[in-house]
Amino acid sequence: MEPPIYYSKAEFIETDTGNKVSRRATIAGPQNIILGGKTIISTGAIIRGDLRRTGPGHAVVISLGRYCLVGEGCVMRPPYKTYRGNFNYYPMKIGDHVHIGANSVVEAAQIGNHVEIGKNCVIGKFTIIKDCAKIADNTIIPPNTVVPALSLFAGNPGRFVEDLPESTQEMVEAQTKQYYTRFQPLER
Amino acid sequence: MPPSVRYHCPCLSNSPFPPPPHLASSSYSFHPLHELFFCEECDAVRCNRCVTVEVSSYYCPNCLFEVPSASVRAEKNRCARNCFLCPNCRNTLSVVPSDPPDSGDGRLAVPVSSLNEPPFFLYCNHCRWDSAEVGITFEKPTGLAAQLQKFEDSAPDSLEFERLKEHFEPFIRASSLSSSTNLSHPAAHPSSAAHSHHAHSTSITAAASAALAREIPGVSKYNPLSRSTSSRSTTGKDRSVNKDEMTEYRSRLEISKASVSGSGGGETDVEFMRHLEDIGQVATLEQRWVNSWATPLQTRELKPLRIPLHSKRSKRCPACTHILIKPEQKAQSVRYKIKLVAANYLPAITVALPHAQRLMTELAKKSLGKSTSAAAADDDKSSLSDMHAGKTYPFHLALSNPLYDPITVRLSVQRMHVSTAPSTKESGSPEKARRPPFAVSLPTSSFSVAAFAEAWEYEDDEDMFGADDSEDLPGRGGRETDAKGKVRTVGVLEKRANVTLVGGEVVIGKEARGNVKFNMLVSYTYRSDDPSPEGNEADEPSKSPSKAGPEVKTFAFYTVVDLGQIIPREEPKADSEL
Amino acid sequence: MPPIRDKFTIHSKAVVCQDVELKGDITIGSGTIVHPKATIFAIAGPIVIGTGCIIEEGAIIVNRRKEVMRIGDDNLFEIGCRVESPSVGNFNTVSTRARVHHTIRLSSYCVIGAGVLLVPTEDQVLEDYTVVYGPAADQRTWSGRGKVQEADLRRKHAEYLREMLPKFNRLRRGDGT
Repeated sequence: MEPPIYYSKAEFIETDTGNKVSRRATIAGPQNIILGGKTIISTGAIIRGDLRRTGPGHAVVISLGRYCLVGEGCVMRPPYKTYRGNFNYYPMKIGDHVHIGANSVVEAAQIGNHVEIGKNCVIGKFTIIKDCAKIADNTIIPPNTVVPALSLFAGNPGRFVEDLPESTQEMVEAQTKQYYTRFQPLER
Repeated sequence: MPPSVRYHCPCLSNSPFPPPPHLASSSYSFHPLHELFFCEECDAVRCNRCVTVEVSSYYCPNCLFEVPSASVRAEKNRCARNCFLCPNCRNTLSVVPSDPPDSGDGRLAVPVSSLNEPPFFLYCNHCRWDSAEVGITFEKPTGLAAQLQKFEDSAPDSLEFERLKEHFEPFIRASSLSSSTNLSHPAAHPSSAAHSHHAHSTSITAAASAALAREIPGVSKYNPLSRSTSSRSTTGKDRSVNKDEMTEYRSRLEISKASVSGSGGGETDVEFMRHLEDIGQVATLEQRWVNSWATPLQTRELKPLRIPLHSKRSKRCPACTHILIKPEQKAQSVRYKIKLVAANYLPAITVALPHAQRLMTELAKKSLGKSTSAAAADDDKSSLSDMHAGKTYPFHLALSNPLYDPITVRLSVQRMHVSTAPSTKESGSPEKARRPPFAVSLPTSSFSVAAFAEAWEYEDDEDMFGADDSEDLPGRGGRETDAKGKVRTVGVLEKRANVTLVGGEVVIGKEARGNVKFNMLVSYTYRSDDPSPEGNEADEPSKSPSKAGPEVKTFAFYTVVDLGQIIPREEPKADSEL
Repeated sequence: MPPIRDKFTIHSKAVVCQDVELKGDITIGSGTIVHPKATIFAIAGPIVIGTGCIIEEGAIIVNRRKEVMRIGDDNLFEIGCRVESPSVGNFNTVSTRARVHHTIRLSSYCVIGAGVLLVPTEDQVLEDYTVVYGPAADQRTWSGRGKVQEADLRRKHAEYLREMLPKFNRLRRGDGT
């Protein structure tokens, strides 16, 4: 029903698994980033796969699931801290059907499935966002916050506002799938 | 606002008709489909306003610990582990160790080894408030609530509350006993009988209402000193009537001396206010009343607050008390053992204005390549769906069928003067007394919507939709122009999988203003080829009037369709003067 | 106005990524880190940045005034913040997406919270340990407890970045060095 959202075919790279990544996004350390498939990385996004955990071997820094959207101008960056006197960055894990609105900055440790994050949000370091939660536009979530499942957070600092309806999962799933469908190339 | 469809929940109202949509109060009766429930027993839509709710589990929203309901009350509905709110900004507090002692040479001594020095304190990483500011520190970084318990328990207010509870306990227990053996109760308490006539009142509310009804000794002559003597004389009579064997309650502290002992109030507060230099020293109302047990006047006395628990809730039908929603026990599970939502029973209806969609698509194509256009496009989109007075617009309704059987749907517009008395309207504002300033035409004949089939879900859906979209959009436009005039605007436009697209048309009056918003009755019939074991014949004879065919059922519900704003004609001033 | 002349003085022990926009007369001290996609604009006067600072991606540092903009040591400018303060002391934190106008001068150990917009019309100096937070840019004074640990975190963070960033990002060198 909804009209398509067009993107210029030349700007985006489409992978075998249907991920669409803008050439105008900054992807640092791509070898440390996993995209689940049918995930869209928009223009101007910055994804910091280079800030990896020290130590030998391969380290996944940021993983995103299926049907995710990283909006225009978003910054995705793993969180850091000192633990027992040692400094390190820690991986960021994001589930399926997660939409992140334009110009939001995410330094979460964990984001579940079916999560919606609005525009211009700041998600502080080591934040944990559980399944089917929603963060309203312009919300500032301070570091170490836990957002429980099926809850709406808003404000500065972000606080619980209300419980979300029981059918949130189905709604978000339909929405994210539809968004991917609507996101279509235009030759020019 | 994009055009929208909301569904009516009658909420056990007697009137079968929804309120007229132009009344602001009507918004409470209409809900988005995904927020509604469906009771199979009653064959009716239910909403959050009418269902009955019960708590199925408690958990802390920060540490996500599931609190057994037995200990919830003892822990005062708050997390009894390590979770605290910042009294200053309501952020969650973290527990942190102290800095190592300052080397004193001015330069920061940055230690290389691990830092884990007691005492620990609570720290807000949003506003940088810390609990050491109010003298609260901890020896270990765990079990903070228990460590704080002694502070909390020794606070004058909680001691007073405990004392009150203790004082009233025998009375509450006695009245709960007497209300359980209820017979003699109303006779013995003639005054409280009037208050306890509600069938659902529990022992607590009965006790409270009895206490309310009782004469309050000493009220007429308020004097704390003479109170004990004067009240004794009156309670002599009371006792015989109320069987209230209670002794006079004495507070721990004389209220007149409370301010001296540091619990605020009286002269000390006046003195504080007199010497106030910075408004920030006074705690805000929110900090005092929302974030605090005691309600200190001064910012520097605010204490960290244990985080209030959240709950998961079951929901029941208000009519038959069958369960509609039953969540899984685990706090962070988003699954449900029972979930009867209306979206699984009623067709989902979305509405669109083709003229706005065409513009939007063009805009999307035009703005492509300008990366900064996102915000601007959003602003434009809202105005695209506006309609001008005195014009005619087609609109599209897409109905998708959630049932595994095909349905036959009939749509009709509720005429607005049906449900409201015209006389009251006339006496009200003259503007609203007029008939709705627009006329809606919908397909008059019934049409079918194909069954929902799981297979469509499993297909690579975006390929399917993608193909459809590309054929569909130009195709639709072509149809309209080719057919010379709008022959095909009203009626069934397209059928695809379990979605049927129908067209309607709205003619907007020349003097129209406000929103194009109308109530629409949707009735649909479906073949119920699995007769429910209870037997629907006996259960709902009234709900299935068209039961001529043995297995055909009909369900009808109201919706309100909001197509958007009407842009009035140029001369609005003259109009409003009239 | 004469065209801005670029002059970058980058200490050999500073780490400045290639994908950084620099304009005007800029001096970057030892051990300071500038992440990719950061912007430093010395529009009018020069900008002098001390040692051990971290300037994250999307951060914008602008000097609109004629005088030299001096930024001290061990400051942290988080993602997408914008700072136009003519002077910044040591160990300050400007959090994610905070914006600080040129009328504000930061002393030391100040914290500008995430998303805070600080634009007073008259010149103002934030005293040591000032914390600005929330939608109304409320101010309070931090007790300073925990500052040693925070300094430790910042030093180790910079140390980590000096080692890790060159592995994944191309670096920029100063004119002279």
